[in-house]
Amino acid sequence: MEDRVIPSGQVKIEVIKANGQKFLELEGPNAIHLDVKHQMASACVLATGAFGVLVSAFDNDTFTTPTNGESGIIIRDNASPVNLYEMQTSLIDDNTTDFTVKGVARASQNYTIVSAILGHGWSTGVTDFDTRFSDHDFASNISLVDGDQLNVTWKITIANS
Amino acid sequence: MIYTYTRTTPIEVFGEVDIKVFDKEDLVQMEPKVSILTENDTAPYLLEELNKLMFGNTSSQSSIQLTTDTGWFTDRYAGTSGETYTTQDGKNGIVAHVNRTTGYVTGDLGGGVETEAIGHFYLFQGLSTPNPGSTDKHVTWTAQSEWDKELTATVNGLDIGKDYNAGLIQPATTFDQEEFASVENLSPFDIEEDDILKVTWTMTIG
Repeated sequence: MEDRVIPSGQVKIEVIKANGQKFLELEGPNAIHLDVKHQMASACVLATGAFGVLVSAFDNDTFTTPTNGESGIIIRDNASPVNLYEMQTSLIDDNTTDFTVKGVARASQNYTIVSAILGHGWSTGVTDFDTRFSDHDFASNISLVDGDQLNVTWKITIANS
Repeated sequence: MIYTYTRTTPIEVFGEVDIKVFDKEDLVQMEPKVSILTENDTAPYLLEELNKLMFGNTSSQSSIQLTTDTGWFTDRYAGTSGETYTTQDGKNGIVAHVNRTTGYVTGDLGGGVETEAIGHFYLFQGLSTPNPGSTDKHVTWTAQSEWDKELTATVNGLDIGKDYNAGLIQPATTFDQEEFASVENLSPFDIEEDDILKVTWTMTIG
């Protein structure tokens, strides 16, 4: 079977000052994980469980450890060993062939964020989602200080080949 | 300071349709009289439902479950039901558009009794729907039917979906509400008496 993965999407990075001024915008590639492709294929023939990214969505925006069993966006810092934080995740737009979720995290100290993951059903036992949708390494690290807010907006689009 | 990162991530749904015609005497189906491998058009319904599953927050789903084990076509022809819908109404599966009548629907919609011919050939035999393997991102439906009418038929289209509902008002319709995919630009081919039309339909999440 031919692999029909099309050119990956884009990462648009915006840094907005407190007064609303945008001062940085970057773009980069990304890819969809096999987990969700498998779940979608299975759903066409089996009575599968829900695998949406808003099933028990993360609801903390204060740089807390991801909650077991919840879903949404997680960010990673550059510490060793790495620290993982959940983002308060919500649906901000949905159409017939796309949807957009937004994750919010508010810093009360310094952090350096290097990547983000989108998925369903976080497991603290295996430190991974049971259905990983996509992950992305930021083109450059994001340094946050007390009072900064990080927003990650993730848009998924589905299309006929 | 607020940092906003926006990601756009596309997923493609790709369908491949393997069409073969065998003489029924070819018991092991080794020598197809017709062999066509073509792509499908994934229907908006399926794309929308898959999209909903990705962001949905419901605890379970079964809306797009299509399997040869449940609710599949049970006959090859539309037959003559004497009703405004065929005997296959509400069933699921793969249907071929043919230039021959396979049955009739009849009813009075207010202007007197009318009859409409149905030109659909349902694939209801040799069924299989393997469950996707643990890392598979594709699903395959296989079905076939024997054309046992004396007149040769020309096949000019294929549809796969749920809740078939051709009827007196819409005799050409197949799955208007829950269509998975179709092959619209099929090069027409003939099926003769005692031929078996076999279709293996594979959809891949790319």
